[in-house]
Amino acid sequence: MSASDPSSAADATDFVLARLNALAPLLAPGGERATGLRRLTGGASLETWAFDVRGAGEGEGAGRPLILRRRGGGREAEVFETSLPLPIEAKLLQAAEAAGAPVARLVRDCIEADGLGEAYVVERVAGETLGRRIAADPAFAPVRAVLGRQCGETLARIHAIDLSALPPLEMQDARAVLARYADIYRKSSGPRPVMEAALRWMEARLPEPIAPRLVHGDFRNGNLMVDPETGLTAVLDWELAHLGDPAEDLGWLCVNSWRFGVTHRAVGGFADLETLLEAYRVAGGEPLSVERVRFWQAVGTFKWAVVTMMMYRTFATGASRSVERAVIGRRLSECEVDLLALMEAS
Amino acid sequence: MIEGPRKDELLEATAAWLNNAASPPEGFHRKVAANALGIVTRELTQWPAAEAAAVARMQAILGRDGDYAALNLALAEALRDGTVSADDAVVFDHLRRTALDMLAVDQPRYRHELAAPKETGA
Repeated sequence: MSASDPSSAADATDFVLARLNALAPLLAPGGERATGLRRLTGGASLETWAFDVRGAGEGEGAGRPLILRRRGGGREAEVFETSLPLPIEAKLLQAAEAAGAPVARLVRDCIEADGLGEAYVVERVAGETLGRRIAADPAFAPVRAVLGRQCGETLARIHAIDLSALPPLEMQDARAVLARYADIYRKSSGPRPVMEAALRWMEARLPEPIAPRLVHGDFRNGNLMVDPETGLTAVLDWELAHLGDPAEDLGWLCVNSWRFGVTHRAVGGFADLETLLEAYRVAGGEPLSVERVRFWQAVGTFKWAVVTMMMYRTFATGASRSVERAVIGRRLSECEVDLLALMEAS
Repeated sequence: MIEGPRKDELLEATAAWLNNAASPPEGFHRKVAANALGIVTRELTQWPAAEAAAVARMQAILGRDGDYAALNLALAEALRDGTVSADDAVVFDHLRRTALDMLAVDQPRYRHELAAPKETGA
């Protein structure tokens, strides 16, 4: 973060606006000013801002729609300590685009002289990210099966990216991921029978080693920008990307919490697992067994359980006193039910 | 076991929010607050019977006495060290019933794929 980072929300907007105005000529041809600046996410230290770059004499509607992502001065504890630095994320966006995966196009990987600290600017892609709408709103009914195939194809392209061309990323295989989340669970909660049983179940089913791939790490309904007519337009939120088992991404996408009530459609509440796996294979992805995906679905469910514990901890320790943070602790029971459902089905 | 947020934490946070909320309160946070109060209400009305049933099941599984917290801890440790296994149908039945009873308190409308418990003869 920059030492001059402002403390109040109004000051923060002025601070960001002044720097984007100065940067405008580099963000769009003929760009002279930034307009319509608004913060899209609040709370966490990672800020997302929407704005438009316009020329001097242009009227409304003629600007270039953009997104700024920056590491602000927020002190709130992050749920994951593993978030990638934004310059690394920017490089992954470029690599994903080059590989044919739909992402928001990188417009500027900010340098220190830009005065925004750790930051980058991307094109603002139109579409819907609300998981419940994508899974259940009639407006998205025609595109759901298409979306399942597009997710398979997109994951195959991400997983095909040449690792030697990427910045250094942490390797997290199944054993390492399990150990990490088991450790956080034991530090965050008293012993819980379902969590212990699930750990035993997963440890007994560790998949055979597999060639490591670029794993997105948070590929789920909610991080997908979807157009009701054309389907997937951008894969968002690359901050948890790492190297690992490609099935991790497919399993995470199948976690029941991201099906938004449409439980019978295993893939994000919008498609069947067979559709996803077939599209993945046709697009050149390594054939992955259902068991391997189910294992990672269980790991993902366990991970989400741990996140609910950590979110409750931020309330219990006084770091956040919001009712929302408290109540999310009660979503642990959904994870335990989902873990038992996976164990029962095996 | 219901560990956190406890009933008193939910009530305290909701009351604190109500004291500071705009009038009328903003939609999303109003729903969150109403949800918190719903959880407390269901816990007060449903959980005591569920907990008593869980205690009886755990006493049978572990062959010892104790309150819910002590038995639940002992069961978790037994599952961890392998002296009790979730592959045992009686154990799995207990985990299933307890998880579903907890979900009925926390999120009764959550849709999932865990089968309902088989009716017992009792």
